Amino acid sequence: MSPATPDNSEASRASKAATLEADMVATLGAPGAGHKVAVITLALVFAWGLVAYVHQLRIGLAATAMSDYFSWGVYIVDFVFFIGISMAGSLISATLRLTNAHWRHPISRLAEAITVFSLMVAGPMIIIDMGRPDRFWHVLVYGRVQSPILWDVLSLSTYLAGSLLFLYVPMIPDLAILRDTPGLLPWRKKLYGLLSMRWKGSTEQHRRLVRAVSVMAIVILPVAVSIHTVTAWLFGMTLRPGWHSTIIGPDFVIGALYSGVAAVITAIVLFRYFLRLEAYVTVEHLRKLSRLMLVFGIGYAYFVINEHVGSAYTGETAEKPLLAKMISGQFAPQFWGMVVLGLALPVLVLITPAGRRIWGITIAAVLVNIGMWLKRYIIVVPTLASPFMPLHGTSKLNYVPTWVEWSITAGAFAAFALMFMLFAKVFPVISMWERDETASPPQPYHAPAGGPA
Amino acid sequence: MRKLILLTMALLALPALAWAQATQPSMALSTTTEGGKPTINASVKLNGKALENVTLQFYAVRSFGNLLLGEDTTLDDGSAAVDFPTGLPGSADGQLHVFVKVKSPAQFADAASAAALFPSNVQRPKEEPFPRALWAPHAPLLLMGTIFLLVAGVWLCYAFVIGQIVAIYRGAKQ
Repeated sequence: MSPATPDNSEASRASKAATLEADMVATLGAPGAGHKVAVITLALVFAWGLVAYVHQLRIGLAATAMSDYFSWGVYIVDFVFFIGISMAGSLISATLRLTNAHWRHPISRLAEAITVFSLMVAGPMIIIDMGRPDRFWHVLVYGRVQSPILWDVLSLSTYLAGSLLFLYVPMIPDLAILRDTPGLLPWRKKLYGLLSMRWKGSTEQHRRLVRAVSVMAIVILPVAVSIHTVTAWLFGMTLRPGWHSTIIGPDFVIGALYSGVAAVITAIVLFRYFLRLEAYVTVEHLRKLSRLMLVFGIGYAYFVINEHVGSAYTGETAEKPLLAKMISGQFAPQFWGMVVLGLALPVLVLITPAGRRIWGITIAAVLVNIGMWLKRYIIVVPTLASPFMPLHGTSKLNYVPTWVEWSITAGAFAAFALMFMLFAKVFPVISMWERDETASPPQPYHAPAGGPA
Repeated sequence: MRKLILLTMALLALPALAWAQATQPSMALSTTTEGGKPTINASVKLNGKALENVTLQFYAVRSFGNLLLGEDTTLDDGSAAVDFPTGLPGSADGQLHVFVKVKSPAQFADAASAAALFPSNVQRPKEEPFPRALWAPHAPLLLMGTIFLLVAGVWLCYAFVIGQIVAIYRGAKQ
């Protein structure tokens, strides 16, 4: 692959465009052995998750460790985690698009795809948590407008619909390029022909496309903030220690930004390596994303300190035992795991010059992902282990997820990865048509000269 | 012809109605004060005659379910009574919605009667400037309007974008 050069002449741009198109078309080619092994492994994990879910459907929520005290468990932890990483697409793509940040081009589509796939995994987690999927219908039919749960259903569906549009609209010209690329399989031709909306690259079509993308970039940001705020309100609107806080909305938003950027970095590093995109997704792209992650990490650390110092200082009756459980009690491993893996280590790695290399950035991003999952765990579980009502027959409540819950969680992560891999085999992961948008006025559409061998 | 059918149906229904009247007692609810203590009274009659030894359950209607206030068996005059609970909050208009139903004998188990009572010791709920919306029977209009406007605004934007996609599709013909 040809590395990017500062030469911006017409001939150079055309040459780079042709190379990019050829490279992107090459990524859609027949999968290699490694790819097949990865897909089969993920499919098996996903199938095992399905088996566990069927088992749960048969015997009910008794298959889980959830109980009268622990009405929520790992499923809600997964839900909040996936909702969190969905923030990345909106932030990175929409914000950078609106600020005309040129460096976003190679990464924006992957970010937008993360949003869609994470929402597609997050939504079913709620239904799985309900135990009986038919009861989801009751939310729609008998839902109370006063309930934050209904608001969450509304915002989640609105966000998913918007994210799908936001992923699809900027892809239309690329689909037209693929439609006109010779040598692709007939089903691909049909698919690209159907989705490309007869794109020819006329001035009128370009004007409407830019307008549609701009509207989506503006509208998706408040929708994204709303979904994270409403998810926070599911906790914050209850009078429970650890949840009932005035800052829980912004706390969730900044946490989502932090984990979302980490998820985007992780995905980009993987796709960059496996699809050989080093020429387009450079170390500089990852450094810029890592700076964003560092800023959000420091911001999130501020929220975490704010959250716990307040309750430690006041020693409020309900908050004090909850804090003790997290600092030195039964949830200390998860709490300190979150602090060390999710906050301290990534920040330490990223502030050192040596850590700002690809390996450092990747390790930091993976640590943030693990730490933020643990953070979601200590949001959900310790509060439920601290009920107001007296305990019956035990002095301490504990929640240990069962094999069913772990299997479904593994299946959810496998589904997320599988959707991503399928997407990367059907659609180009880097925008082809936006390549010259910032270097010169929009280029007239041209049909590719040749397809893959 | 239509009138004839209706008349036949009415004639057929009359015995059933008469049977139902004969098999289900009527109950009336009231409040009195006995020895300074307020009570809820029920009077049970079947075809105008007082029913004795019928066990009744008295309930207060709450937001989520019914609160059992007490249980009593009717005397020879068909009356039963339970103490009226003090300090029980009523609805916003100061009324307490109660109902009574037959526990035994089993053949009267379907009988029930409801009434809105407003004795002086029903607590009128305090007027909350910002009532907890979740527990209110109906969502506040302001909340409904806000949510509707926000969601509708976003979906209108989506509709606009879909309109642009359709225009891109049509633009290819030009």
